[in-house]
This record gives sequence, C-alpha cells and structure tokens, in this order.
Amino acid sequence: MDGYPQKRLIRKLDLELFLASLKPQPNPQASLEQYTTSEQIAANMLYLAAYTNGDIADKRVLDLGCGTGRLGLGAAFLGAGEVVGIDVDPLAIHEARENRAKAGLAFELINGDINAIVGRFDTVLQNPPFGVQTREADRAFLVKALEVGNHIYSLHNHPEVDERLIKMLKSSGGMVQVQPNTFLERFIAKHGGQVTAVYAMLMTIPKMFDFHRKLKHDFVIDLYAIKK
Amino acid sequence: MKRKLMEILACPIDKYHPLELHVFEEKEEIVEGLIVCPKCLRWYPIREEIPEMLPDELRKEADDLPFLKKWKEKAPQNVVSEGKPFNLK
Repeated sequence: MDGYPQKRLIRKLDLELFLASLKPQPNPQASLEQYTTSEQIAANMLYLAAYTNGDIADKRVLDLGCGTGRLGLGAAFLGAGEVVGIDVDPLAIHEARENRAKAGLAFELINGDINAIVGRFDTVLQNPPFGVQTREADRAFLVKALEVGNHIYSLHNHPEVDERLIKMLKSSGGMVQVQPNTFLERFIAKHGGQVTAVYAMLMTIPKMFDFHRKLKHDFVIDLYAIKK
Repeated sequence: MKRKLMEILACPIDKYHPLELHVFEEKEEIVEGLIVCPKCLRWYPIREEIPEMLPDELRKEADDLPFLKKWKEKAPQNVVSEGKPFNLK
C-alpha cells in the first residue's frame, strides 16, 4: 500500500478496549467543564487522525487539555513518535500519570496552563472546555492549537439541538459529516487555519453536576478537522 | 520529565522561552527541579517528575514555599530571595 508510513493497523475494537481500560476523570469540576470523552468518540477521533489522514504514526502529537490522558495515550497506542499532554488540573494529571504507568507508553505530562507550550507539533488533539459554562473557553484552545500545530482535531459543541441529527446518529452509531459552524469557521480562518471536515457524533452523559436536570443527556458534538 | 521537554516550555505568564532548568534530583528522568523564567523571575517546581507550569492564581503558597525551602541551597539565590510568586525573603 502506498501513502504515509504506517505501523501495524490496530483494530478499532482494540483501540476502544484500550481506551476503556484507562481511568476516567475521578471528580469532574463544573467550572472546568470536565467530562471524559466516551471511548467511541475518542476512538473515532483517533482513528480518523491515524488511518484516514495519517497524522498519528511517527508524528509529534500534543494533547491539549489532556485530562486523564485518553487522547494522548490513544495516540501513543497507535504509534505516535512522541506525545505531550498538558492540563491545568493537578488531579487529572495525577490520573493521567497512573494511566500512563498502566499502559506502559511514553507520554510526557505537564501540569500547567496551555500557554506554557511553544514549539511545533504535527498534530494537536483536543477536547477543550465547550464554553457553555465559561463563554468561549474553547477559543483559547483553538488559538494555541493553531499556533503550535499543523493538523488539529478539536471537539466542539454542536451549535443547536437538532433532533433529526440525533436520531440519525442514534441509528447509524457513528459519525455524520456536517457543515462547520460559521462563527467557528471564521474564527479558525482568522487564526490561520482551514476547516477540512466536520463530523457530528453523539455523546451521552449521565447526570454529573447539579445543574444537569435529566438523568441522562444526549447531545451532539462536532469533531473539527483543521489544517494550518 | 525529560530534559528535552525544555524545548517546548514557555513561561505561561509572559510567554518567554527558553526557560532555565535547575535539576535537583535525576534518575531516568528529572524527579525534582526548578524551571525559572529569566524575564519575570517566576519559578515553577518539577515534582514527582511533573513540571508544574501554573499561573499565579492557581498556585498554593502552602505547597510551593516548603519546596523552595527544601532546595534553597541548590536553587539560584535571586530566585530564593526575589522569585515570583513566592520567595523566602
């Protein structure tokens, strides 16, 4: 097969099992909008980056706002050359360290503000705070990702509740390509990036915070594939 | 942390790069050390192999000052007496 250098192809199921073996966020904080990406969403994101676009194997990867390290360790699992993760929450970094030890993979961790990162990365993976609680909190992550990365995979809240899309995602169980949010697309362009594709995925979260009214909540998140 | 990580670390306050590294304990990786921004004289601890590059408002004096005290003989003198956000003066 021609194309980018690739290590042994890892089955998606094995990737999901690996991700499920890692410990999730132990004590999510509403102010940081923390929740753990579902295995399926993280696996979809990593699979797209690794096998559709060739942006993981042997690449320098940054997991911005790494939390417990799922995306970063997933990238290491898929053969990334080097992976760095940074998160402002010391408890999350502590869990990421344990997950790293359990996985036995190379993953450099920093407990810090995203502005402590400079340099160049081939690929940035991020699941930033959505800015629902803190308005536009995801924008600072996009700015940093576009500053240091060439290929960016970023999760964002789908702009409106779209029951038809939710139904479609429930029956397909995977990703559906959608149009980018105009404001986000413009913001990304202003910072030198180009949205190459947006994929909607279904996320179901249990009630975690007091302000969640329902026991289970389905919402759509959009994976933005961006190139610099 | 590995020494090589210094290539991508900047001061989160004034974005200055490169930063100074002072190693206190090193095995396969740096276990304990200090990262110093020469521009603003902020210091950041490396503890249990993890660099802590937090903004001032997220730092805890009660955790950070004992660390500086523990290494005051090995840390640069100006950091010990004038370092930000906490010092031993």
